[in-house]
Amino acid sequence: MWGIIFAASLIILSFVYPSEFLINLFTQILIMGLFATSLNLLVGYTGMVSFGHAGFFGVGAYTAAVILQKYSTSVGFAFGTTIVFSAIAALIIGSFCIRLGSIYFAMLTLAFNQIIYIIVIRWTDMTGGDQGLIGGIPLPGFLSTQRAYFIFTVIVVAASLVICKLVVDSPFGAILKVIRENADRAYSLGIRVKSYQLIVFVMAGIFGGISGALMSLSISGAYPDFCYWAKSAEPIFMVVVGGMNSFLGPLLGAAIFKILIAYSTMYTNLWGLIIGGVLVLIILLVRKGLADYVMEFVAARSVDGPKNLLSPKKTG
Amino acid sequence: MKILEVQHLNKSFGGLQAINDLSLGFEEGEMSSIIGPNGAGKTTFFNLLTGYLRLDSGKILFKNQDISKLPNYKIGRMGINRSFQISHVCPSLTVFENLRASILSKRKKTFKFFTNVGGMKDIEDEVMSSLDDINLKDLAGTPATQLPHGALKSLDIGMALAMDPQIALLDEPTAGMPSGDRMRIMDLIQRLWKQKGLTIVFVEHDMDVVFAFSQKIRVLNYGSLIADGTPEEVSQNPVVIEAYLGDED
Ligand SMILES: Nc1ncnc2c1ncn2[C@@H]1O[C@H](COP(=O)(O)OP(=O)(O)OP(=O)(O)O)[C@@H](O)[C@H]1O
Ligand SMILES: [Mg+2]
Repeated sequence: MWGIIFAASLIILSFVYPSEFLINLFTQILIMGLFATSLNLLVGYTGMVSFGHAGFFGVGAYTAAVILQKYSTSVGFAFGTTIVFSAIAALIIGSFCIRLGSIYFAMLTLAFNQIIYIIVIRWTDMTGGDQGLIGGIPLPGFLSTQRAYFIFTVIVVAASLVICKLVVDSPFGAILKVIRENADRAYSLGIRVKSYQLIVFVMAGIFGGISGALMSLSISGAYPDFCYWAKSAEPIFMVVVGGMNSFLGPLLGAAIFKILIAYSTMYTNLWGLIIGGVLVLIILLVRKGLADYVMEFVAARSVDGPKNLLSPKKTG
Repeated sequence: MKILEVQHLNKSFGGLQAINDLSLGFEEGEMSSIIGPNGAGKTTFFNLLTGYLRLDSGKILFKNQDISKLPNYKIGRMGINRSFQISHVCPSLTVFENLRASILSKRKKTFKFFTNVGGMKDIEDEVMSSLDDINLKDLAGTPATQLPHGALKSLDIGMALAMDPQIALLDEPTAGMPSGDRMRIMDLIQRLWKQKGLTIVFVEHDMDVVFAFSQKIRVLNYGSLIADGTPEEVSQNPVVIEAYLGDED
């Protein structure tokens, strides 16, 4: 419900206040927000810290871009294929990675991220190699203006977030949190931890792929640095800064990240320093993501509500 | 009938024989205990029974079926549920959320992806009634990290018992508690044992507790069974007195 309201208000806003710059900025924020939220299904909800999430962003970006550019199919078909390919990639990568404990899991996701990057660089015929898939991506008329694409992005991102939210609030989502907190215990309750980890890994891969597809269509091209391993740090930044224990924390983090970059690059090319500085400040001063901070503040003020069975901080 | 039985069980860690040719069985419906000095192999025995460790040789029969090669989650599903010597709960989840994990799993509702778990009234009722069983209803909304030690122990035990186990293996249910609390928590376990007709095996160091709450006592030493019998039989067994009761207190 809140999803629809949120989406509608963004769309209305783009008419009331039609600024190319802002529409573009918000498109980027929403895309990265979905990307970060998909990573947070792993990091925040299940306790699986993946350093290779950009791999799926890349798979999605290239799948949609190649399909549309070379086979000129419909956008719907391109997204369908993106979902299938991201899911297959996540299924394969996930079934290797989840065999291992946390630090090895992280390293292995990073390694697979690198493999995807190398495939993209080497498979020049398909991907354009080093210089990326250039030459533009044909979009149907109804998506050709920047505002139209923005509205499309709002709808796709809102629908994706609603699905993610439903899942984290489901019994399955409840078990993910149990696994995050104590996987050892979960086994004794008859829970096959690896199945849950694999399913959520595939889910995160699919939504990571969708965000990649949205990105390549929005800038009409796909580039290898979409899936360069360092790119995986961006959603981690967003998750940490925005807050991994609140559903909308990563989206907030994406907004902070993109706004910081957009405005700091106007004045300086030391934007990396600014991003790093913000991260250090938040980690040292607040010690939790901003959304978490706010949620806990609110929860602390309403503890004597009628029935508060759920943990105040780990919401969502 | 023996609900759970082991035959010639062996487990070693490097050169250390933690379980040594152990054979014994548990009667259905019994409440019994396992005692033995520190390092006797009691926790290792539970880890073998629940699939948390692989045995070197021997057999584990649950209702005459060999379960020694099954993974731990399958054993958990079959109705062999355990609690842990060092509490294993989900620290930042509330008491309610912790217990809900047991109920969701028992009711096979964990693969529902789009139902709001907060709206599942039947699950909530069952969680609340299980919390009532272990006297934690009033603390339902408290995160597990904020629980006093006794309540934490109760929660750990409650998570196992809420599974409606065919046999519950409780590893030191009263560890680290003052003696008044020990009796209280054992009374509670005993009440549930009677009320639900459970089979319970518990590991315990406090001899007052052991003798008050066991129909049978098994004594382990260096991974071997040195005595097996009623409290009277065991308390008069000279080997036990020498190996265990003598130097413990
Ligand atoms: N995973 C392991 N790796 C190596 N050695 C182990 C392992 N688990 C237990 N041991 C050793 O096996 C022996 C039996 O340990 P166990 O924990 O089963 O004893 P216990 O009877 O439960 O003792 P306590 O009363 O102190 O809980 C000990 O010497 C212990 O150090
Ligand atoms: Mg022990």
